[in-house]
Amino acid sequence: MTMSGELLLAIGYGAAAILAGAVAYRMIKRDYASKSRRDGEE
Amino acid sequence: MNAYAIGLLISILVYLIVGSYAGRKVKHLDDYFVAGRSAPTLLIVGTLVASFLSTNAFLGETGFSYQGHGPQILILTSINAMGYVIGALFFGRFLRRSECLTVAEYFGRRFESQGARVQIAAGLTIIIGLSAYLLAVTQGASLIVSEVTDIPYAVSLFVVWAGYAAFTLYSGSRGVIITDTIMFLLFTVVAFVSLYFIIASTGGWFATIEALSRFESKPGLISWHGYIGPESLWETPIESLTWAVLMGVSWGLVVAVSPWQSSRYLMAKDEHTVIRSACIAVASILAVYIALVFGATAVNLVNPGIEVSERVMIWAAVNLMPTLPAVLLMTGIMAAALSSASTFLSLVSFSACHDIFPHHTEDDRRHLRVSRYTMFAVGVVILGLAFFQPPAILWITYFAGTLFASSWGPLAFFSVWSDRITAAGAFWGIVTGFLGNAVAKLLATFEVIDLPVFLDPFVIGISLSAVTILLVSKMGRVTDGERSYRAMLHQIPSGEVGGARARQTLQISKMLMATGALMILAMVICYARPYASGQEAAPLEDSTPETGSDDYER
Repeated sequence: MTMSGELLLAIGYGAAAILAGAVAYRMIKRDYASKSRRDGEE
Repeated sequence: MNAYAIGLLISILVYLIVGSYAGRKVKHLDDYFVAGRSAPTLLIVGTLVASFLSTNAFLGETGFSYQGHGPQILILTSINAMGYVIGALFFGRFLRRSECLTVAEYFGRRFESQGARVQIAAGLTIIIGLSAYLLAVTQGASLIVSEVTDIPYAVSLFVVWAGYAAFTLYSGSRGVIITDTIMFLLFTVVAFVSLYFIIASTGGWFATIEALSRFESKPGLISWHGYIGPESLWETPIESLTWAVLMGVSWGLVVAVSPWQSSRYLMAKDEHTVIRSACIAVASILAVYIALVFGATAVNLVNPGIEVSERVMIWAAVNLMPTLPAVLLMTGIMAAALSSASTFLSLVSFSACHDIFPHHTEDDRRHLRVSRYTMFAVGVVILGLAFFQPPAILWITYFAGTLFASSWGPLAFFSVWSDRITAAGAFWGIVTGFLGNAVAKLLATFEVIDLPVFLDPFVIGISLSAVTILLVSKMGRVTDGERSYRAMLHQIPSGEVGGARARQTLQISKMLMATGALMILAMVICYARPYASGQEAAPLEDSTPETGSDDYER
C-alpha cells in the first residue's frame, strides 16, 4: 500500500491518542510519581 | 403512542427518578454546584463526554458526514480530543485546586484587584454563549421527539424542556453528573449498535468502504479531504484541511477550558481523577466518532437523497434498524441532547446567581433556594426563546462553542502559567476575544465581509484576546495578592503525590497510548486499505432516487 492521504488520516487519528497519552505520562511522572518532585512546577 | 414515544418517555422517566434520588442528597451549596467535590473517575468521564456530545454530534455532525465531510470531522476530532489531556494537565487540575464554585469565580479570584468585573465578564460570556448552545440542543432534541412521535413541535419542545429542567432544577450538579454518566454509557453503546445495523444493510464493512471510495454523486466522500468542489462548502483539499485543523484546534481549546468541560474538574474527588478522566475521555471521543462518522456516511449507499442531512441518523433508525435498536438509537440521541442541556442549564443558572448577581448570605440553604429559583427563571427564558428561534443545530453550536475558545482560551492558560498578566489584561482579553469572534461571525453570516477559510472568526477572536491580554498587562502592575494566588495554584497537595494512586494514573496514560496504537491498526486495516482497493475498481453508480426524498419508508 502506498502512502496516501487516507493512510495518513488513519495513522494520525490513533497518533492523537498516543501523543495525548505520552504528554499525560510525562506530566504524571514529573509531578505525582515521587515525593521529591513536589512543588516542582515553578 | 408508538415504540419511539414509549422508549423516549421511559428514558426521561429514568432520568427523573435518578435525578430525584440524587437531589435528596443535596444539602449544601457545594452539593448543588460541584457535587460535593467527591465525584469518581467514571462520573467525571461520563459528564465530560456527555456534556460535550449533544445533538451537535448525533444530528449536526452525522449530517455533515452524510454530506461528504466525514473525514474532516475525523481530522477535527483527532485534534479536538487531545484538548482533554492538555486542558486537564495545564488548566483543569489547577482550577480544581482553586476550590471555586464556578470557573468565572476562579478568574475573579485569580485577578483579585478587579475580581468582580473579571468574574462578571466571564459569567456573561457563559450566559450568552451557553444559552445559545442550550437553545440549539433543546431544539435538536425537540425535533427528534416531534419527528418520531408525530406530536407538534411546540408540544415536544415543552416535553424535552421539562424532561431536563426538572431533574437539573432539583438535583443540580449532583444529579447531572449521574444522569450524564447513564446517558454517556447509553449513547456510546447505541453509536456502535447503529453502526452495526447500518453496515449490515450496506453489504458489510469492507464492501461498504470500497463502495463509498468510488461513490460518484459525492466524489471524495471518504477520501482524506472529503467531498470538495464548486457545489461543496470547500473547493480544494487545502481549504477543507485548513477548516478541519482550525476547528480541531478551536474545539480542542473548548474541551480544555470551556465552562461546560473544565467545570467538571471542580467536582473531581482528587487531581488523579482529573487526569484519568481526561485520558479516558480522549479514547471515548475518538471511538464514538468513528462509529458516528462511518455510520452516517454509509447511509449514502442506501439513500443518498435525504434532503435535510441532519436527519440522517433518524432516517437510519426508522428505515435500517429493527424496532428495539431503533428505539435505543432514538433514546441515545435524546440522551446526548438532554445530558448537554442539563449541564448548560445548570451552568447558566450558576453563573447568573453566583457570578452576575451574587447572593451575599451565610445561610447555605437560603442560597441554595435562590439558586433553584434562578435556574427555574433561566429555564423559562430558554423555553420562550426556543419557540421563536428557527433550529440550526450544527452552526449555532459551532458558533457558540468557539466563543469560549477565543474569549477564555488564552486567559485560562496565562492565568496558570504567567505571572505578568494583570486584572485589566484579563478583563479586556475576555471582552475582545468574545466580541472579535462574535462580530466577525455575524458580519460573515450576513455577508458583509467574506472571510478566507484560514481567517475563521475563532482565529480573529483568539488572536485579539491574546494580543490584548499581553498589551494591556504591559501597561499595568500585577498585585502581590495575584502573585501569591498563582503561587498557591502551583502547590501540589502532598496527599496527591506518590503511592498506588499515582501508579494507577500512570497506567491509564499508558493505556491511552496503547488504545491509540490499536486505533491506527484498525483504521489502516478497516479504512485506508479497503479505500485503496475500492479506488482501483470501477466507479460505482449511485442509487439516487429521482425524487431524492427523505420521507420515512415505514
